[in-house]
Amino acid sequence: MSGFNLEFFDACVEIGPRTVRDEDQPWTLEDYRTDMEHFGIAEAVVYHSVAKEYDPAEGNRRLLEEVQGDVRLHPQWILLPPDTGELPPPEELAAEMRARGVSSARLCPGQHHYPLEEYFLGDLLGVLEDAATPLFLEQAEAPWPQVVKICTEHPRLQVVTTRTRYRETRVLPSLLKKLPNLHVDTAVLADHCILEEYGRRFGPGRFVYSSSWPFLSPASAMTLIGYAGLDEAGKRAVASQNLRRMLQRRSP
Amino acid sequence: MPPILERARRFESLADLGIIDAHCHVGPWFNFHVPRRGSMESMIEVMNRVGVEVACVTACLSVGPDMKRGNDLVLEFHGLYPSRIVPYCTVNPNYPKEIPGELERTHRAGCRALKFHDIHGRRYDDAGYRTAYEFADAHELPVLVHTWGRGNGSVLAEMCRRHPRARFLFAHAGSADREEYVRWVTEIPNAYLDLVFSAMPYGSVEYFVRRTPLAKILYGSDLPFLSLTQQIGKVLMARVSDEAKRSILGLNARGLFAQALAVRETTPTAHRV
Repeated sequence: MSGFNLEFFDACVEIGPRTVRDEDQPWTLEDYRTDMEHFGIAEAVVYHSVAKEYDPAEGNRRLLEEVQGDVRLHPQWILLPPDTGELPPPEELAAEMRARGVSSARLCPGQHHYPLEEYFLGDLLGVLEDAATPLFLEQAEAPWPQVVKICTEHPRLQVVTTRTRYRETRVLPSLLKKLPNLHVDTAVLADHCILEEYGRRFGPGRFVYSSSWPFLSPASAMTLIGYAGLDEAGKRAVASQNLRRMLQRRSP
Repeated sequence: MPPILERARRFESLADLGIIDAHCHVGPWFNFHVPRRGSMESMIEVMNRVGVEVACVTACLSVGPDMKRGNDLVLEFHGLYPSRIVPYCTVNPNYPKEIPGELERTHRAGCRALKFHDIHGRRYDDAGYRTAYEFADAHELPVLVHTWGRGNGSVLAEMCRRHPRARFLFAHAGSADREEYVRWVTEIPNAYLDLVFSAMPYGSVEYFVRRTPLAKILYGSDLPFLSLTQQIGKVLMARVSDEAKRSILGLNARGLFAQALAVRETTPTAHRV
């Protein structure tokens, strides 16, 4: 094999200080920029640790300050059930996200202590769906039956599960077959031949590269994709094109 | 030759590196679907794509319910791909009467490495393993042992000390209590570690290279429980020297599995790849 270049668009990056951290674990945006160079990552969707571990309003604001001016970094806001009033009402929030270039949203129902249910989130999910703003969920916080309900009740909402665990192979085929708006990331998708097998069955358009930085090495998912038994077009789709297409679908 | 990082970023074949994957299985498994049934053919395809020369293989079947038939399977694959497959004899301590015969039989057939896994429900100091420890010690064999932090690792560490001529490969270093793995392989001459973990924490390869004797660290993938292509990335792109990467990817295993690699040179070739 003479080799080829792949452009990587990272779907899951957390920057900022954390409550618990290993001593040698990176955390700053500058650390991530250094890793973008080392590993060869072109662009990334980035959320802020303070939004996850302290307060979404504060963390989302800090995120915009920190990534400002770097066109490679696509800010992602972490949202909450609208009735709490901690964030602006959904329509207003969507307009603010659009105005500030926030191209995707994330929910952390486990961390933020609420059920991932239409009853609590329906208004917000409907607005995200109308605005073509993709929703990211960490799989550990998003039980599959609830993901099924969200994807079914909001069929135009593009949903990405991140840190999607390996060994989900008795579940993923049904999900990928029946939920065309569901996408899974590759950070921990460590099953043998999964991209080639599911790429053949469901199309490579259902997967997005992610590093889960700074918790994991960006390298593992890179070589999963780059050395997969997919054709080059399929690899390019997973490495960057699927995510870019999802983010660009947003309403102007 | 460009640095390994550059070659990995272009997904080139790395066949010239003599990569040995010290921790592989083969076959399907009960609690999740292994694509392509984890077949030997699918494993060889992936090995060829990446450029992995040798896989050291223990059958999922013998990690599961059927020790003997699983060992038969890996010997069968060793016969089909003698230059690519190093067979482990997997020992199930729940069949102590069968173990002596199984060790002798598989040794005669070419096994020069053992595998223990506490999924069989016994601690690593259980009497059911005694014959296997003695056999490994007498023949100076490498033994791949499933570990997950200090719980079972500390028991294995004690068994290393009791069987100093056998060599023990602590699987899944970094899964938990990584400082314990450093201590074990630093303090115990016949202790080694492999780097298999589905979600290896950031910087783990660098962590072990900085703190442990380089010759004690081996690459393994857990193929087909895990993806070889996914598991090798953290080594290929780590911030360590190319010398360290070459050692981890193949040179260290070449020493540890020297007997097994010598056997393959004399094994009749049914299907050379």
